[in-house]
Amino acid sequence: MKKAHTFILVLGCSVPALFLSGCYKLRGHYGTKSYETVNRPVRTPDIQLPEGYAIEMVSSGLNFPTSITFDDKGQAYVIEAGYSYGEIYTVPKLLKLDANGKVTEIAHGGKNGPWTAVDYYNGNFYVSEGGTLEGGRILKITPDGQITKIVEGLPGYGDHHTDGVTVGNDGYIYFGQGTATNSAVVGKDNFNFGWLARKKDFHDIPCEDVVLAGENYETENVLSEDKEKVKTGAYVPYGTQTVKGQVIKGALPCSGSVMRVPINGGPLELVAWGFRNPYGLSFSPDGKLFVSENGFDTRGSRPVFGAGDYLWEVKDKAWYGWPDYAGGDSLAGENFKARSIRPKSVLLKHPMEPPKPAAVFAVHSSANGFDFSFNSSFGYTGDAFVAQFGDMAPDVGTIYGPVGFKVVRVNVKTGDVTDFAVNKGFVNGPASSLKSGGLERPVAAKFNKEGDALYIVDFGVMEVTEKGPAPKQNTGIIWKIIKL
Amino acid sequence: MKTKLYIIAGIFVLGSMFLPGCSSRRIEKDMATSESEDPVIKQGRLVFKAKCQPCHPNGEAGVGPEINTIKVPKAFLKARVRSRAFLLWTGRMPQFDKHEISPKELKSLVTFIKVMQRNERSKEKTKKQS
Repeated sequence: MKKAHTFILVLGCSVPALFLSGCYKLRGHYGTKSYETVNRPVRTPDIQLPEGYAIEMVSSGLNFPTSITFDDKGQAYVIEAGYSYGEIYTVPKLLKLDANGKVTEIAHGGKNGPWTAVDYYNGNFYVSEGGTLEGGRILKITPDGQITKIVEGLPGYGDHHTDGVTVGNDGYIYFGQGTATNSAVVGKDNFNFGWLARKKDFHDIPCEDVVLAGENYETENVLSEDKEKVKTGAYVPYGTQTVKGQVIKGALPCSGSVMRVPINGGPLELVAWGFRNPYGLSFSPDGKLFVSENGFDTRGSRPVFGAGDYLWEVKDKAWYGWPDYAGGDSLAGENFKARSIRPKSVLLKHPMEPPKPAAVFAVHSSANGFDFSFNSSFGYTGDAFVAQFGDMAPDVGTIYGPVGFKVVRVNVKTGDVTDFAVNKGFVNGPASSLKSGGLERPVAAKFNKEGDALYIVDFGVMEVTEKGPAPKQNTGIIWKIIKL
Repeated sequence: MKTKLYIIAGIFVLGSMFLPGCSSRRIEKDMATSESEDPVIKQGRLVFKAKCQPCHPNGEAGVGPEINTIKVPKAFLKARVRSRAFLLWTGRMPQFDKHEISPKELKSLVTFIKVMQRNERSKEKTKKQS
C-alpha cells in the first residue's frame, strides 16, 4: 500500500510539468471594437447534429434577435433586442417572419431594451423588456402593433435585465428578473458595464427581509476623480457600508427572482427567488415550470470561481441560493475560491437550504432560452433544448477554451446534458472564430406549434475585445432543425 | 525497490509528455455514451455531467483544461478527484470527498472518462484513415 502511495505521489509531483508545457493557454480577448456588420457566411454542413436531423437557415441579417414565438396558425414572429452588451442601443422590434425569411415589422419600442423574450397567448404577444434606461417592463402587443404596459418599474437597470416572459395555462404571465450585480455587491465591474455611472444608487433588492453578515468590499471610487477608496456591502448602493445584523427589507419587485402577474395585469406575485440571472423560462409538457440561470462570474468585488449555469425546476416560494450558494452548494467551501480568496457569506442567515438543480451546464456557457420537446415525431419528448450563448471571457473569468456556442439537450429527470447542435471543428467555439459557417451565439430555442421543428435564435457575432463586448449589427440568424 | 518505482514513474511521465497531448481533437458528438446501456458507463456519465462537466465540458477545455487527451492511469484520476494535494495543491480543480462522489461512483466516473477518451482517439483514427 505504501509503495502504491509513493508511486502515485511521484506521479503527482511530476505531472504539473504537463500543465506547464505550453499546451494549456488561457484564452484572452479577441476581435476588434467595432459595431459594424460583418459578412457572416452560412454553411449548414458545418453544424453537427444527431443522425437523422437536418438544419436550415430561415432568415439572416437580423439585428440582435433574442426570441421567437408562434401564433395559433403557426405563423412565426421574432423580436430584435434593441440593446446589446457593449452599450449598443438600436430599436427593439416585433417582426413577423415568413417562411421565405422575409420579415415585416409589427411593433417597435423605445430606448429601453433589450427585449429579451416574446410569447403568444390568446391573440396577443407578451414581451419582456429588459429596462436598461427606464426599468424593466412586461408589454402586451396586439397583432396591429398597439403596446400596453402590463408591468413596469422592474429593477432591470443593472448587469441583468427583465427576462424570459412566458404565459402559463393558468392565465398568469411568468418572467425572470436578473440581479443588478454579479454577487450582490456593486463595484467597478458594474461601472464597466456602463450602468453604474447613470444609476449611482441602484443595487440589488431581496424579495424577503435578509440579515447581513456585515461583509464590505473596498475598491477605488470609480465615481470620483479622487483616488480615495470606498467600501461597499451587499444589497446597498455603491460606497455604502453595512454592519453585522443589519436587516435589508424585502420588497416586490425584487432582484434575482421569478415573478408572475395576471394576464390582464394586477398585483405582482413572487414565484421563487435567489437566482442570479433567471434568463429562460419554460413549462415542461407535464406542466412544471423550469428556469435557466446564468451563474456567477469571476469578476467584481466579490468574484466567484467555477460556478456553472443551471437548469432549475421552480418550486413555489423557494429560495435558490444567490448570493451565497451556487447550484445548491455553499460558496463558503474551497471550490469557489477566486484569486485565492474564498467568498464569505454576505447573509448572516439563509432563508432555507436551497434545492439542487435539475442540470448543470458548463461554467460561463450562458444557458439561455429553452423549450421542451412535446412531439414524438421530433423525438426526445420531455427533454429540454437549451441555447447556450457562449462565454464572454475573459471579462467573466479566464478560460482555457471557448464554452457554449451551441444547443444542448437535457434529460431533466437525470440531469444528463448532451450536445444537440454544435459547430464541427477541432475545438469548440463560435463560427466566426472557427472560420466556419455555423452557429454563432444561440440565445433561444423554441419548438413550432406542431412541435415537429426546433427553431434556434442566433444573436449574431459578438467578440469580446480589450475594450469590452463588440456586437456586430445585423448578423443574427434564425435556424430551423427538423427530423428527417 | 523504491528506486525502481521512481524510475518507472519517471519513464511513464516522460512518455506521457511526448504523447500528442496538445492535439485538441474534439468530440464532435457527445452521443457515443449517451445511449449506452452499460450501467457503469451510465452512472459514470451522470457523475461526470454533474461534477466535471462545468469545467471540462465533454472533456474539452473550458474553465479547466482539456482532459480528453490526458492519458493517465485510473489510479491517477481517482487520486486527483479525491485530493488537491495530489498535484501539490496546484490548479484550481476542487476535490470531491466521499459524500460528494461515493467510491462506487468514482469507479464509474473514471471508467466513463476512459471510454470518453477512447472515443476521442478512435475518432481521430477514423479521421486520419478517411
